[in-house]
Amino acid sequence: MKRWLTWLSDSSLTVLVVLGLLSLPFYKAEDLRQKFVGAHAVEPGATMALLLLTLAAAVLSVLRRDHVRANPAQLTWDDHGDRDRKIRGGLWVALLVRFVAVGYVAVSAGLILGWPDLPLAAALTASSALFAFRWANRPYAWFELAAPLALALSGVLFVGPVVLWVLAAALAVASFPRRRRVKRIELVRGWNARILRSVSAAFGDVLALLPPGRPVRLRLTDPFRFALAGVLARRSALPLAVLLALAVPVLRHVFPVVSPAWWAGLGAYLAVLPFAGGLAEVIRTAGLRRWVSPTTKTLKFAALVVLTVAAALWTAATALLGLPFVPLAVPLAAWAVVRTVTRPDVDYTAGASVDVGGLYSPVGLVVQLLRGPDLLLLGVLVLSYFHSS
Amino acid sequence: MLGRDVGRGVDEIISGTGVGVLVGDERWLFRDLDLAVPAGSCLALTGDNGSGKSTLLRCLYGLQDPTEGAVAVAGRPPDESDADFRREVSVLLDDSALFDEFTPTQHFDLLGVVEPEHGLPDVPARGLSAGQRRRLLLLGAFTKPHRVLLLDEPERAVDATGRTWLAGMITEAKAAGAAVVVASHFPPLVTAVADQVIHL
Repeated sequence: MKRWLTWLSDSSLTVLVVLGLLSLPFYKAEDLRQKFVGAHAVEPGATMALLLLTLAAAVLSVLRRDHVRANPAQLTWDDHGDRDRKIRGGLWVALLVRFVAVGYVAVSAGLILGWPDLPLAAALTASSALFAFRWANRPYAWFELAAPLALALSGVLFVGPVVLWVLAAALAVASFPRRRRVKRIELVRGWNARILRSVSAAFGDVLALLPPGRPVRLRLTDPFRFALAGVLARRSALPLAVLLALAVPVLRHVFPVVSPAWWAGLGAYLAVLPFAGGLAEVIRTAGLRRWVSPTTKTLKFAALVVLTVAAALWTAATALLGLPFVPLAVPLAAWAVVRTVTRPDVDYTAGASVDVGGLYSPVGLVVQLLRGPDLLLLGVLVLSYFHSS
Repeated sequence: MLGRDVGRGVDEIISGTGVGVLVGDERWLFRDLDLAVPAGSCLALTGDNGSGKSTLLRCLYGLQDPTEGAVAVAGRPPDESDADFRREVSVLLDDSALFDEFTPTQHFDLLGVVEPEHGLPDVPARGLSAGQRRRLLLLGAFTKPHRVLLLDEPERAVDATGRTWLAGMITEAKAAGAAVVVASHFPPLVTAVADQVIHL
């Protein structure tokens, strides 16, 4: 408790700013509607579509099973009690945090865009939470991803209430699997992943969070094959890319004032970034770099070509779902991704703190962390002039 | 403290004069160290843990500058950030790593060399045992074309048969004209391959 109070006291300004921003929909709903919807008519079913997307994101996030973890020291020295109890507690917290966020988005969207069918919204939320709870208690199975993808697809297609009632019922019925106990090796793996996340967050080093590679059957005889293998090895990022491809056209429909260049550029960047983990790894790890003989410039170029193809595929999918095609967003996003993952190691001694809107920020650190996103934002800004709504 | 019985020759590929590394403000890890390793010979570094063997190897690879003195490797100051330098020097250091998702064959693809006979299973590196991973790292260092070979405790995690194989590989590298520096805690390996020994 004392720790939380200390944290609250230290971060009071940040907390106030964040709470202020989050409370905007509750007393500035009309202004926000003007800002994001403008003179356009609000798309019927817009709030329901947003709810479906946030439910999809929440379920996908819970299915990552970040709650499955235990301190190896505790497993070694203090493993006498019911270790499953702690894991269940972690899952409850994970669900609570995500579904509070879902609730906030739904209420905000309701205030700005109009209220959806509330019993249906409640049924979908409850069945999604039940599905996530039951399946996150079991070992990973690829077909569980059908649930978040079905939710997102229903959102992008703006399907009618009958289909959504069927979806809610299907999710509830599909929540039948029973809990299965977790092995020690999974708990330790989860703990290590959590430590990595904590350290990355503390040092603002998001590149360490890019997904690790999985085996891929491909001879690595030239830099392009190496780049392709790096992308294929990160296929665990595919569900996120698909979810983004489904979400972005919905956001474009719901908030038509925002230029499609922003949705296309930001979406392609976020979808493709995890696939650049191979390039990031080889640039950052000296022991791995020694295996790869081509120059860094050649590796970057090969990665740029392969990632441009990946971004083009993603953009084509969003175009099929109704997002206006912004061709230059494709190479821009790929270039920004390469620039992001090949940035030099962060120098934490660089630059002094400056006051940014009441928040003290180490400017040297911020400049380094913006390497990559800076190119993307500048490029999208230019493109948005040519692709205005 | 230091063995300084090192020969000098016109074909020395690794050389150093008065090399010293200061740790903290006043503790010299080693000092006044002269090195001369000609082509086709092997210098072994021995000594207790923390005596400076790995630090000296890092200096020879350009990962760390000596506090005093100068070293030259393959005719230039060592600089691992220089691609031309890296092309001449092959290393096995503490930070050497494997791509966990790639098989041994894929690792040799990356090096652009013909895959040597190795007997390792064709599975991703994360599926190899500690000894097999070490063997793959060693094979990578030996197989990559080089004039200089720097090995930090190559015998670690290698079984008895592997250690015999290791001595044979170092001998082959010497026969091919490489200058080898090996830090080791394994006296039979030092005896088998070393032309000079520096005890730190």
